[in-house]
Amino acid sequence: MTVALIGFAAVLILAFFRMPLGIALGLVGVVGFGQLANYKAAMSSAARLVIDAGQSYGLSVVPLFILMGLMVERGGMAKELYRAAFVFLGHKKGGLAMSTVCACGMFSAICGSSLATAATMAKVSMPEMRRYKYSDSLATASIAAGGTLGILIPPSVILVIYGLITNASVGKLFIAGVLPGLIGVLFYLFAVKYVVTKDPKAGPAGEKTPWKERLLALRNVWTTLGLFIFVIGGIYVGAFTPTEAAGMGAAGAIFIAWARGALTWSTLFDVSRETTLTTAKLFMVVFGAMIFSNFVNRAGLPDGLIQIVNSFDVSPLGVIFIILAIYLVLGCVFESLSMILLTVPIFAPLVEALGFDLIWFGILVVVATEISLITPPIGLNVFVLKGVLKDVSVKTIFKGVTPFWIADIFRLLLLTLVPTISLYLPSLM
Amino acid sequence: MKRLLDKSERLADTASLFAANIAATILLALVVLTCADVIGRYFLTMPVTGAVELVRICMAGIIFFSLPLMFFRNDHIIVDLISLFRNGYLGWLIGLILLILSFLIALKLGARVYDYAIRALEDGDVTEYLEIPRYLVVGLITTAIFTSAFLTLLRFAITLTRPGTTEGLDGNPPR
Repeated sequence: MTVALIGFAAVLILAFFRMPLGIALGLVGVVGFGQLANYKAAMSSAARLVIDAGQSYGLSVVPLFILMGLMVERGGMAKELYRAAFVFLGHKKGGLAMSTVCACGMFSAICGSSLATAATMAKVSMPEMRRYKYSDSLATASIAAGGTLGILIPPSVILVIYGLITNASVGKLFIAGVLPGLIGVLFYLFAVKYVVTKDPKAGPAGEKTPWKERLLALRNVWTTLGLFIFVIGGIYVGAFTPTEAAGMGAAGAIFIAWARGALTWSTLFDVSRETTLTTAKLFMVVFGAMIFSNFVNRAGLPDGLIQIVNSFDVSPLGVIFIILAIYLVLGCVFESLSMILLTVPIFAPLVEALGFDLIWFGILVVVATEISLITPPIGLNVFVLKGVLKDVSVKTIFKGVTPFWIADIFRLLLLTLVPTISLYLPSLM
Repeated sequence: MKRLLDKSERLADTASLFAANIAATILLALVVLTCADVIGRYFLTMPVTGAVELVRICMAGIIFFSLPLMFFRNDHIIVDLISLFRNGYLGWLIGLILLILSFLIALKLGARVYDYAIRALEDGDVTEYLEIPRYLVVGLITTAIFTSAFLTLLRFAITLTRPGTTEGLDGNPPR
């Protein structure tokens, strides 16, 4: 176990020196495995993993869902989603921030990336919030926090990778993310309400929209919501495998973008290339994480952790809280994918040995990871927003995000104490 | 020498971009394949034979045709926390060390994957339904890894001629 901990420290050091994370994980994995067995076996195992994971059927959902998300983004559908939320909520105090949160939730239903959700919604909702003289801190915080929903509400690339590492069903993980995602939207709405109650000037009310316009706005988003129902509903009723659903979803998104006149051959090709490059980057880390995971298993880290837990007489739920606390601390310095790939191979066997459901744990991990996206100093969603909105300081965004961060902690607590919220829908599959 | 390396940089970037475009085409083929399989199964009771095998091969194509461009532009997932390690002479020096390490790792891994490709060729190993020789896919993976190693070495040489700058190590195309 000591060897595994040294390995873990070595990865952290190499990563801090800017070694590509996948290479750092793979290098330490091979060297560690080589020390424990022999180097030839370590290299053979690493090569075998690269060959097999590089042809993984289960992971083929990754590029297809990325393509679907990017296509939806380029298709300009985010604007209509925002409009649909605005016509119902815009007239309330803080209504535009609430609309942003709801639009982020809807956009997350067709895009599996938090960063893409935040970046896209920033372009759509920020000008409107500025027009209504919203404070920068509330406006940007609602986008940064709302954007985090991208990795929880299905489809989610992070959940696919979690499923691969733990052998949990990707379909069930997707369905399990629905209710916690909706609760996330609800809690963020409470956070907005809290902010505008404390400082009404932070989010003035907009004008009320007549019902005729509201229905018209709803009509404009049916294609996007229909795509979500088709893809996730298809998985839920067992009509498609996740890969097939992702393929159909990507084709649907391409079709919608084409029907809206937003698609040219050049756009299609650019988006496809962006997708494949993103996929390759993700897979480099996946390869490294699998090699590293092989090493930590061989070094007996999961068994060692179980023994430590037993010797300390901590209750199983206490262990879960300790793990979640570790995620919150790691979230201060690691980005979401790296954190999951580094830790899940270590914690998942322990959680399973304690008798917990890995689907439920997956949702907790993703929610903890979502929190990391808005946690200082490197909350990535905050920096993505900073990239899009150059005149707003990082400090302002982090300050505004605090009520949303607290709402997230409450949500994490609720999901931990009431596993049924995550497990009810998958139990019906 | 510097001029030659600058020219090589543009040439290598264009070639890698071409490979990445092949990956993009394979991705679109994967979309068509999965749709054809679902539509064939539900409406024509005729699913695509060996669809799972084809999906696996497409995945290898998508990832490994993109690999050279990713390595050449150093467009990896990096924990970017300390700006001191990113800029100036220290950033340049760390960049050089990491490039040479990446080259050696890719070379070593490529050699081992090559062994598997040769074994698949000698054993006449084929896929279950479509009987596609497996050495073709493993051969593609080997070529991609070796090409990436070579391009990383080229990036090392180019970076060596630009002391104190980390241009070309930021994931962007050459200026």
